[in-house]
Amino acid sequence: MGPLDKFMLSDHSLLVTDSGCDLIIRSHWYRSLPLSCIGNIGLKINEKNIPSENISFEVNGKIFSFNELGNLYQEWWFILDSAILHIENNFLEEGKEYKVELELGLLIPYVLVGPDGQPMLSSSKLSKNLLSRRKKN
Amino acid sequence: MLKSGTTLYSLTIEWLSGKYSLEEIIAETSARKLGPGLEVVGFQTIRNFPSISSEFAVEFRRLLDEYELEPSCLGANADIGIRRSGHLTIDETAEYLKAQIIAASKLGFPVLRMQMAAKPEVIRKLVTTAEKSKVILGMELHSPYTLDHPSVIELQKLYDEIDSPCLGYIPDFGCCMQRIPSLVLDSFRKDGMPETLISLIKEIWLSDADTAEKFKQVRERAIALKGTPSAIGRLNMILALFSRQDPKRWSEIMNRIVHIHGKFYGFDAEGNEPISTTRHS
Repeated sequence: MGPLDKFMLSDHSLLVTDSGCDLIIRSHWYRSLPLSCIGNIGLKINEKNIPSENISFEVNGKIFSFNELGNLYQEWWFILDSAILHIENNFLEEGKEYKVELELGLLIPYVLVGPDGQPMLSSSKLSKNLLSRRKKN
Repeated sequence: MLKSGTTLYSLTIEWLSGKYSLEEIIAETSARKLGPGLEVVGFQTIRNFPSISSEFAVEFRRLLDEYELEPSCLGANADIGIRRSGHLTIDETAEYLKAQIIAASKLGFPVLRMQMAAKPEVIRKLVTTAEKSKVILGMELHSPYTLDHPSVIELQKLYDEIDSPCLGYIPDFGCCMQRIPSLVLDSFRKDGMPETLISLIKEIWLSDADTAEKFKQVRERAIALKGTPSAIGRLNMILALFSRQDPKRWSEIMNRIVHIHGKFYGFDAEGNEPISTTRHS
């Protein structure tokens, strides 16, 4: 939605792994947020929806299931750091171009809206054709 | 005396590009004569913020000395919504912000930017720490918190009651806009937002309804127009970024202004900035 969306995916974000694939992502907000502020992750690869339960999230050298993120208000995603989405059982060919569509919904914890003061949802979508590469161990 | 300065927040794109180290972005700010004041948002610039190691504090002070900049304001965040189960309590919010007051003190910032998500009861609990740390708490009056907002009126009562030199205001000129910047609406259109929702937010933004009513209208009318949660979030963001207060009204709180956030959103061919009212104030 804004000028920072371009940082969400780089040309080298899509990696082929033994168990599926990895996607290296960055936040589209301007500052670090804890993982509890990740409201939703929508992902399509070549038009195929990847359910969020098939995605785990790695940051700070730790891996969390998508469902755990909402509780992690003390685990921070520094704004200059990448996170890795590990996607199980989504096998890709190496060296092939894939259309990747990523939606990242962030709950902004100091901008509160509505009668209950819910964190404002800031959601950005980025679509990019990415060449898959084999992940180096 | 009024001094100008730059917040590294205004260099967010450059910072996130990864092309600059902290020293390089400070050096560039200095080389372009954008000082003498330097403001940073703690959670943007500093890893592990608000924890500040002695080494980082020494290095940060050295950088400002070397590049002849003065620490003007540290941006704190009152993240009361970080926990899904409910807002941080008054005590938890106070602790969250005390750590940021101490960070400001370690880094040599005279002012800590506060946010209205911190209620007056929180501010009351912070006054002693601020006074001991010699840090002024500058409440940022950022859209939608204009001077007529009930929460600002409530805070003003607390300021009158406590009357501490450590309590002040930071007017943000996003409160004093002539119109919604077209570049923002164009980015919504580019992402496929229907014109009905664009017209809706323009109408509500220009109305004289109070803030709560505007947010309510956005929610109810956007849902009726089949707006998605993501689209409604964007419309809310307009209200959270831009208001229509007359800039002359800042004179009502002039004696407590400790720092100012100017804004600009683009220039015309003559070099004028027609969107915000900053230059007319």
